[in-house]
Amino acid sequence: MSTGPTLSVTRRRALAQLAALVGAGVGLPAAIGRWLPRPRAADEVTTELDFDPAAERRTLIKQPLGWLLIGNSMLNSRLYPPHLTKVSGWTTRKLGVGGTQSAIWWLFFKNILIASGARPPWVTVFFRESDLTWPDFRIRGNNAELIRRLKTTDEPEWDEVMAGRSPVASRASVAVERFFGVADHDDWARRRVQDGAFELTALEGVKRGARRLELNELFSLDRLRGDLGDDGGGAGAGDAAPAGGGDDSDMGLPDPGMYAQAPTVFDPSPAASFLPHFVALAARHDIRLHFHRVKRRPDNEGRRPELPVFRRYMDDLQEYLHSQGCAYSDESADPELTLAWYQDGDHLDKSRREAFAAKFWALVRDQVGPPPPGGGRKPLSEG
Amino acid sequence: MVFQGFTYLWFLLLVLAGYGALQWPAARGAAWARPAQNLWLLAASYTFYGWVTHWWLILIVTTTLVDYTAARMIAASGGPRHRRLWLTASLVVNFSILCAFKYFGFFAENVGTALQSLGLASDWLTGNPAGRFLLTVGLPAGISFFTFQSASYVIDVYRGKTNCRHSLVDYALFVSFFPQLVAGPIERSENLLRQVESPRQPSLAGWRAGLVLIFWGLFQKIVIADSAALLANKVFALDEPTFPILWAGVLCFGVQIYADFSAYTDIARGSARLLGFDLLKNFDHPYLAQSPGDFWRRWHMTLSTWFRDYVFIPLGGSRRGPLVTVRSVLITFFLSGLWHGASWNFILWGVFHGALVAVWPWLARALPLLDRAGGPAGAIMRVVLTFTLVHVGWLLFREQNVAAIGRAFSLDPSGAPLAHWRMAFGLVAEAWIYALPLLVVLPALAALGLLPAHGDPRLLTWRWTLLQAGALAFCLLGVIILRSEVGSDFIYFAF
Repeated sequence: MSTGPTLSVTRRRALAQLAALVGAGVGLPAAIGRWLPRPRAADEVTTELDFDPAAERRTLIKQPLGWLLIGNSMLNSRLYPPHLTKVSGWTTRKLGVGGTQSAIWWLFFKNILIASGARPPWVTVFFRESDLTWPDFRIRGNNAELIRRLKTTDEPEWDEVMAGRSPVASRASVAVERFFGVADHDDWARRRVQDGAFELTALEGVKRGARRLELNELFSLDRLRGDLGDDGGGAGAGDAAPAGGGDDSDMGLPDPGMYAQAPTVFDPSPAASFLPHFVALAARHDIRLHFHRVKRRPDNEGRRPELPVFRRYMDDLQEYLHSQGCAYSDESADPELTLAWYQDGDHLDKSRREAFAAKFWALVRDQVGPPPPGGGRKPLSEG
Repeated sequence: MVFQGFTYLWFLLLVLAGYGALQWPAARGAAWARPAQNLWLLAASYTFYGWVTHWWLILIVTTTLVDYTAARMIAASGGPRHRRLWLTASLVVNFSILCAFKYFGFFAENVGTALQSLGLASDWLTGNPAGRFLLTVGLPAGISFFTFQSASYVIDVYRGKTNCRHSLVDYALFVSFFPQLVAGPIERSENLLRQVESPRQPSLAGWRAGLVLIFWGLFQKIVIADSAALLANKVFALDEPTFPILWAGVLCFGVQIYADFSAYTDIARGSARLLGFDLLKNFDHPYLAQSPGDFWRRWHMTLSTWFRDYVFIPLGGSRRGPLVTVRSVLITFFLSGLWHGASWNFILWGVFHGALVAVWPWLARALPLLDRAGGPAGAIMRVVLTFTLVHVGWLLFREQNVAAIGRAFSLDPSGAPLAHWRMAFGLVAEAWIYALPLLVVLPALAALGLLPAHGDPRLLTWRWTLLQAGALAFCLLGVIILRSEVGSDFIYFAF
């Protein structure tokens, strides 16, 4: 063992090097994550981060209402509550944040409305095809921050739905993101890569926004082939087939991350989505739920035929909602909603909101009914 | 259990803890320690494989027992007839299992179609319980890999190239070693089984190399492959893509499949290094290949050498005249295509590559530029040409609908609007930005001799430690801020 001391020195150095490798390898990204400035507001493509759940709860407490509307930019571009109040007589209010999806709508309902004690007779949720049973759609980036603000320490329904569903949802993943302090930068960084690719290939000097709209149009749902099974086919079998819709945040700009796999089979089980939890919680608090499906951007003739992949899904969804005593309406077959009503993507031109309010009320009046005296306002629940 | 999930991280840490605890007595010469380590790794490997679908274990255990017994019987048999009989029995069982689970649906569908066209009953294969089971059960992960790995051992014993092994645990671990079980590299007994039987000495240098490989593999998968997959999947989901859009999708798929498979291999090799094992290399900058043959010496190298040793050479190889060579090449690549998947597009892909490999030497004789001439410019031209041909192959590989493949080749480039060219360039640029480290930086470093091989003493200097730390940090930061929102399984899990 005459080489013992030498070996020991070598081993010590090797250990120090391994420690340095791991320490620097892990520590450097954490340091960079803390050093990187938060993405500026201009980069925040999904949610409005000034949204304050506590303030919303306070407003609901102060101003009891009869009809709450929940949704994202589809709702925001369609309805301005005073217009709906004017035509329907109901006292209305909306919780609509651009770029949000069903996970956040569930938290709006549970942790803002129910937690506030307000018990409006009606709550309407605006959605597109299978948004309601796609719980892990749009829960990252700035939406993750919004979810963090909305969630409480005890969320059994959330845990049930999200358990094992998405690596993003796992606690370990969240802990890692917090440690590295870069949870807000993923969308930002990916968008930088996309923009870089655009800049590199900017033929004819077309603007970035216009190119995104081109891409949106190219990959729109009605251009998808019908021979792909649920697995998307091809050697990427098991990969997410981009059956899902485009971005509904703000401009409807495409982002690779938005093309996740939309569910095409309706699953009513409580582990599959927040929808059954929505229904059950509403029933417990004597609130009637109404789900309104919006019409996607039509063609020049105002048509937007149902995509084959969603036909069965939509039938099953309606059947489920009716079996649960929920109201349902669908504007997607409305021939009067022509292209002239639309601004960008699936968003309506805001100048049409008043007209849309009248159209919407005509569509749902039979189900929602006239408001009781006082605009349907109900006092706060004692619970 | 997938490499890129936290479950695998906890699993690997647990395996390493148990393995490390046994390493202590092993390093001090305790005779029981290495067998105990192998038993621990075998238990871990079976846990890994049966994690989601427990009954898959029946298949791997059956393959192991059959091949272990066959090899023992071959070694014990005196006459060539008995030896051949046991080899045949082993191969029949191995490939029957593989065919039943991988090719039954394809076979039944095509036989059914043929019978139907003749006006005969078309459901005699699928109308019984066994047929229905095989149609609905799905492909067990990794079955093509462990079948080939195990079969190679029996063939080698038959040929006298390797000794018959007596330890069932060692052999079972060779067949099921979890880092490479599901998607390779396809190991040979002289490499992996020899290491299984020898005392391992996990070193700190090995740990460093293993960590770098794992993090680099995660970067390739989560950042490069999954991002490129999003783009490629969008294109291949289009009903009527134009010429530039379709080929942009193919180029994105070229990035995806390389990064995806290379990622799996690197995570497998990294995990094995942590345990003191050195797995075979599977990739050597394949997109720098200067001919189709060169591509196959750089792409999925362990599969290529398997087919070379067990199919191409027994068929006659390249020393029995040009016709035998062409025939052998075509059959080998036909089988290679079929190995990848039970679908006509994979067969087309295999035959396409077979034709390229067979024809290339003839063309090179007429056009020396295709061989070695032309200096650096000639080399660049050959790389570009090979890259293009390989991507034509990727279209066949990715598109399972044969009619769509036909449509793709009939697209007119001049018929596409300029906006589609613009978008196509944008899609490819995006995929290539993610892939820069894999497709540009690493090949450049390798070409400049700046990438020391595993075991190079330079890696033990502080300078290289810091460089590796920087690489690790880069990979980790990339995984955190550039990871694709939509993850996907490794492509080769489907084979």
